[in-house]
Amino acid sequence: MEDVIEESDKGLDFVEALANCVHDIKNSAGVVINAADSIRQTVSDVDVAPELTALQTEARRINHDLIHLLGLYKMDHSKQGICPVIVNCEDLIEELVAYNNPLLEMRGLQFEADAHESVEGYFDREHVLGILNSVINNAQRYAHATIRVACSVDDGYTVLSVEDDGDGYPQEILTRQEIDPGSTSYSAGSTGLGLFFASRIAKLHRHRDRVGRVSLSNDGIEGGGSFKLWLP
Amino acid sequence: MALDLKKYSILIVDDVREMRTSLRTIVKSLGAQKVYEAKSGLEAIEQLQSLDVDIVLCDYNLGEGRDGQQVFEEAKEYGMISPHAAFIMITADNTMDVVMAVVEHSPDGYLVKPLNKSVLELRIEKVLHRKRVFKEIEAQMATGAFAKAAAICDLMIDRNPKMRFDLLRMKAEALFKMDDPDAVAELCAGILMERDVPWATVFMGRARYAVGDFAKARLLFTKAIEQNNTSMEAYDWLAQVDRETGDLATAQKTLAQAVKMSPKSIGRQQVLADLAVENGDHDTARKAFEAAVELGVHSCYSRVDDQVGLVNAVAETGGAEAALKVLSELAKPTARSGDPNQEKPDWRLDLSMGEVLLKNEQAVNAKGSIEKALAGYLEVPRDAADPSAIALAKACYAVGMTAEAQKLLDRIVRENHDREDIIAAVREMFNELGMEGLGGDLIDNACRAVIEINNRGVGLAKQGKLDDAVEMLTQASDELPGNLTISLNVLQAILSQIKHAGYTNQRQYLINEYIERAERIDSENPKLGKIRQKISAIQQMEHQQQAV
Repeated sequence: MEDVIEESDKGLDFVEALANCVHDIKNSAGVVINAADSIRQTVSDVDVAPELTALQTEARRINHDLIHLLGLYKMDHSKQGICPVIVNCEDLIEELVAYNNPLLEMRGLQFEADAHESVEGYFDREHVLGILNSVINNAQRYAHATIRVACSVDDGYTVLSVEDDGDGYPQEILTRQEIDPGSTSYSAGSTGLGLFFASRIAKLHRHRDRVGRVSLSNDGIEGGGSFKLWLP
Repeated sequence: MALDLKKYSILIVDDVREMRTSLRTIVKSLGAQKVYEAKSGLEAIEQLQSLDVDIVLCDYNLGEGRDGQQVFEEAKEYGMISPHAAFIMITADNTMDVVMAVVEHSPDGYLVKPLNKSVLELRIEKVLHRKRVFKEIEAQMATGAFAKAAAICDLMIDRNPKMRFDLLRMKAEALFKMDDPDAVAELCAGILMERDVPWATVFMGRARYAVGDFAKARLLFTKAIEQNNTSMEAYDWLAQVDRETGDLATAQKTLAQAVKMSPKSIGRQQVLADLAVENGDHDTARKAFEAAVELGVHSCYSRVDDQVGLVNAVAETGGAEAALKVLSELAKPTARSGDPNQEKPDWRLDLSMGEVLLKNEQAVNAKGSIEKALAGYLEVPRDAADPSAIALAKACYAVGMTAEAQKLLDRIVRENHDREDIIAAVREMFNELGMEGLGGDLIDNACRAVIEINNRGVGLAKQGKLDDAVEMLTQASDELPGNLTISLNVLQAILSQIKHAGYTNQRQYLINEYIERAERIDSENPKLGKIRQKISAIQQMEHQQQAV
């Protein structure tokens, strides 16, 4: 017996449908990433390397963008909160290296990790990992030779930073007072949405009277871009 | 140092074939030789029952049937995986309710997709290391050597500073078991001076709770929630304080908040539902029972009480028609797929049906359901009367099945003649039916019969006829296996026998059997505790004598 599928007379909730669709594409992108990663492990053909690298980078970018989009949607529908745990930053950075290094190597970039065993933070591990992965994926488009991730304790905050040795962020991004999700442009990378999301997640982190934040500068390696996530 | 998985057997659980293949490729490249796959929750459970697995990599979302969390809970609950096995959950997204469900019931780790070989390698390595660090501590905890466990925690903190907070938490747990709330408070105050760690605030509150300082405990639990509103244990403890201080309405509100935060916890939905029933809040009860029934379809923690509770709550809020509709839904086999042993609806659902029909003045149909319920109740072999059968007896009376009702009640009273609450409930039932006289007689007769047998046995023992006493009491206990007093007297009689006629293996064997029976009835009973002490004293003496 077949079920007759009937159209609901409630009509289409476009936003909800969009969110579900985004969710679905995001998961598909995840499968593409996995597939591309395993091709990387089995195929040694140098000829396909640049295309494969592009595939891996762009699939990750799609995945990150959609995660941000979905995260922002959930925040607006109060379905998104944070789930902080005690995190050892050395472990976290080790994981960032593990996830990103294969791809950075292909691009001939050097990945420097500056971590101390004793730096601990109290934050939502998975969200912070996601944000930093996205920033690193973005930075590799601009870096000339090196990307550096580091952690430190500054003014009572746990600070996680991603720096590159590229040309730095465009001046209009740095001088902007508010991070605006609408400023996304392909040529500038997907910084608008990603930064907006990062900033929202950072603000959800509070400890006593301190609130988390994101800061950008061109104090990276030799004047390159520097992204800092300040977590109380 | 690269991770070598050669020694480990690994189970991969994912409903997507590509994911299983991809994970298999990764673990094989890390040296794994024994790799098994399951493509559904049910398959995972079957594999875990027959295999000895060291590492489980389990996707949270498994399509139809159990999800990853339910697989984890069931495997733990029924001891299908060793406590030293590592269970790593993998999720495709970090939606709040999924993360809450996973984090709250703490498998050994969870990973958000997409993941690659290096990340997986790193996590497995960490989890295995963590398991090694905690192995000895957990072993000491399991045998009740709490002081030793706490000491090992200190030792491990020196060696593994990264795991300091986890180890401190374990130590605090051990200190609680040692009945030393002051030491717990001291430990946690030290942590809290450094930073606000919600679990440490919760433990501070628990330390206050343990010494009866409920006001301070409430403040601390509230503070833990302020520090982090996902600190689920803080809600549970806060509700516990409210309950303890008699404020059931606030307890319900607190739990409702918690359920909103972490909706997939079936246990908390059940507690909330029961509390709402107590408070007469049928709307909240209905919602919580509904959630519990839905989560229960594939959960090892499902209860028939939730289904019955749902029917009652719907009857209260939406009337008999709505309740009957729910009952017909619950009668479908899909409502029970969580429990493969349960082939047909529980008798209590038939009883609910009968009760709803009775209220709706459909006595003829009601009788059919109640007959079915009684048949269902009698069909299942049980070693003691179920006190919840009082309601069944009442329904039997209502449809004129008088003889059946009396037989049922006689059995319940005889099994529970020492339980004031149950006797009172039976009396109350008779009062409601206007049958005080007959009820009083039935209760008196049944209680007297038990007391007489019991006293005869005890009398024989006093006269020194210990063998006769043991024989008589064991017989009585076997007839009424749910009766605690008789089983305790059996134990007393055997202890006297040992004292006078010596220790034998047969006597010890008998003791074990009746200890088990008494534990099934009420393992916390203080009299049982005293008997246990006497037994272990005898066993020690026996060992010493053998050693001499």
